[in-house]
Amino acid sequence: MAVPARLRALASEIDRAAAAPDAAGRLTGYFEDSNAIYAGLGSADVDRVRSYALAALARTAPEAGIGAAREEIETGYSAGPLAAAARVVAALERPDRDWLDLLAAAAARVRGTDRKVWFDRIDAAPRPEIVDTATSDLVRAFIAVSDALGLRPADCAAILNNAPPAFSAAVRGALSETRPSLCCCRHHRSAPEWAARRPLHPEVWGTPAQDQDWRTASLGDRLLGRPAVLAFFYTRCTNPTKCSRTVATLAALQRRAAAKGLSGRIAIFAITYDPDWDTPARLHRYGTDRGLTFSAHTGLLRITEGWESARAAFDLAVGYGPTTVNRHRIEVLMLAPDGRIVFDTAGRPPETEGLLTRLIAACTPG
Amino acid sequence: MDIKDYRKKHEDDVAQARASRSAHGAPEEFLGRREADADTRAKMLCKMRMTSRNLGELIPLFLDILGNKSEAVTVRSAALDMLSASEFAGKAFADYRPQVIDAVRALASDKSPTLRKNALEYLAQQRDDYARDILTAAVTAPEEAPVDQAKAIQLLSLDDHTNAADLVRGRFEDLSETAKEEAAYILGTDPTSADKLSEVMVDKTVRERLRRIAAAGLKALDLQRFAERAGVVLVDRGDSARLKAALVSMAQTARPRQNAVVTSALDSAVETARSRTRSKTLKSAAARYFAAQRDKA
Repeated sequence: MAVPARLRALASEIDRAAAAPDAAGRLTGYFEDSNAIYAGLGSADVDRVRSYALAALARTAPEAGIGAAREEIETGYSAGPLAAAARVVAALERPDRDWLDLLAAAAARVRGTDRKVWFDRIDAAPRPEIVDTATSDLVRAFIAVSDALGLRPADCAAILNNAPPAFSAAVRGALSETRPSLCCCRHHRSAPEWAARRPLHPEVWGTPAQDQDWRTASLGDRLLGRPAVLAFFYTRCTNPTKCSRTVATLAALQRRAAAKGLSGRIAIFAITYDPDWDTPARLHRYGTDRGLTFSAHTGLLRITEGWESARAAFDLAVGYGPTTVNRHRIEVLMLAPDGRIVFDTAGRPPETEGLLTRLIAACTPG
Repeated sequence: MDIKDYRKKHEDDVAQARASRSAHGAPEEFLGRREADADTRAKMLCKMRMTSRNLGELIPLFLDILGNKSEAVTVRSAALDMLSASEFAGKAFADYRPQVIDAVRALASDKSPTLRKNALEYLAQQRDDYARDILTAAVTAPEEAPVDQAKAIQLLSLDDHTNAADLVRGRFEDLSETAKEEAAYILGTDPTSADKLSEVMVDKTVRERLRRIAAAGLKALDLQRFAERAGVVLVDRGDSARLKAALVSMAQTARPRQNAVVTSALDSAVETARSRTRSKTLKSAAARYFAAQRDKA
């Protein structure tokens, strides 16, 4: 059965890019979520193309694929992208210890969706000769990282004890028991890569935003004048580690902030990527189900006019298929009372305590 | 099917399943009865009790049967059913999943139409890339497809993140009546298809069932337009009471917000339809509609 022509064409482009002297530069463009080459593709097809490109990067310039691989391994559920990301990690010369936890967690996530994987061609017709799966690629990556760090199974006991049995058994079987112990299990998760960003274009504050209760006000009215956390999401997101988790984290943040006496002094909002579908009724249900308590300073919003301009102003990493979003990054920002973006999570999942600490600092005089 | 008949059939199915559970089969028994007819062998497979302990023994057996082209279709189909069910039998299934997907992908091009359909149903539920490629091709070139066009569209609709809406909207007029109904379900997930659904909802040249599906889709996408179109149908003497009753029932749970003009026009259209009809179904739908509006007020 023929693979759709558009996918075949994209795969040929990736093959040419991978063979070029500047492969790293040419291939990294495939990991921009808003890249126009993905416009109109369904999200599974976007995953196929990205995986193909990521596997090409693993063969040619793995260091250039660290960002994309990290995002997949931290939040992905699909076998193809996870396997390709694992190949990038396995090819790194100096991998970080953080990868071990992330790889084991990814092995647990992919158990329910694993399948055979290959990246020498993009078509999906059955290939009995293939034996690689996402799990086997994650195992190889774990072993490669352990090898690079000189670790043995005992050094990673805590991680392996919590990983799926087949994954742990494969790793334990492959790692040498003769190496000196270098404990990796009490590793400290590095803080999210908070990064300051450029100021927003002032016109964005006039954008009308309707909330879950059908009330419309400008973004400026909702967000300016107090420290704010602003996230982006959509209710049809199928990855529970992205939008659902983000909104649930905002709800947890709201509760923790209230306990610290910050209610009314901060704003917590999330804007949908899919304003045509996410009606106020859907926003209300989605937020309520995840524990948000709506108020004048907390809610879920849809941009009713000027979504494209707002999307550009916030420089959102989101792409669209014919019906809805086909790919997006996790986007959680913290804004100063004057609207400057003072932090963003740079695609990493938000953490309640990290955001709370920032909010407390922003609300503390001096 | 009448609701009473449906209930009876369901109760019979449950009773039959209970009875068959009391006599579990074993792989040895199945393998030792190669001379038995296909139906008996299929039933023996379906009686096998799966637990997390014996999955490692049963899944390879089911995979062997699935790949055995000389085995009867009913037996291979039973093996596929058991593989689908084994996903719920324990965590051990996850270790076999890649092999199962591979085996079912191979089945998608089997010469048996039943096996092809069952295989594609399973794979579509898994959001499988290969199945999506086949189903997409089945919509664009139905004459060469392993399943019929309507089934292909129905299976593509299981994932609202594909480009299925684009695919069916562009060739809607060329689809068979049954395929159009499946397509209308997909269009109901696509905000850019509100115009198309709005058009179909009032189109008297198409089957009424298609119009009802289009109405439900439009209601999900754009309440105000749904209300406007429903108003048009409700006062049209040429449309059936059955269609009108369906629209009133849809409107009952979704009054458009913040548009008094549309709301009062819809109330008036429901009242007109109620007063003109002898249909008990439409009259009771209208009564429920007005009762719900009073509750909301």
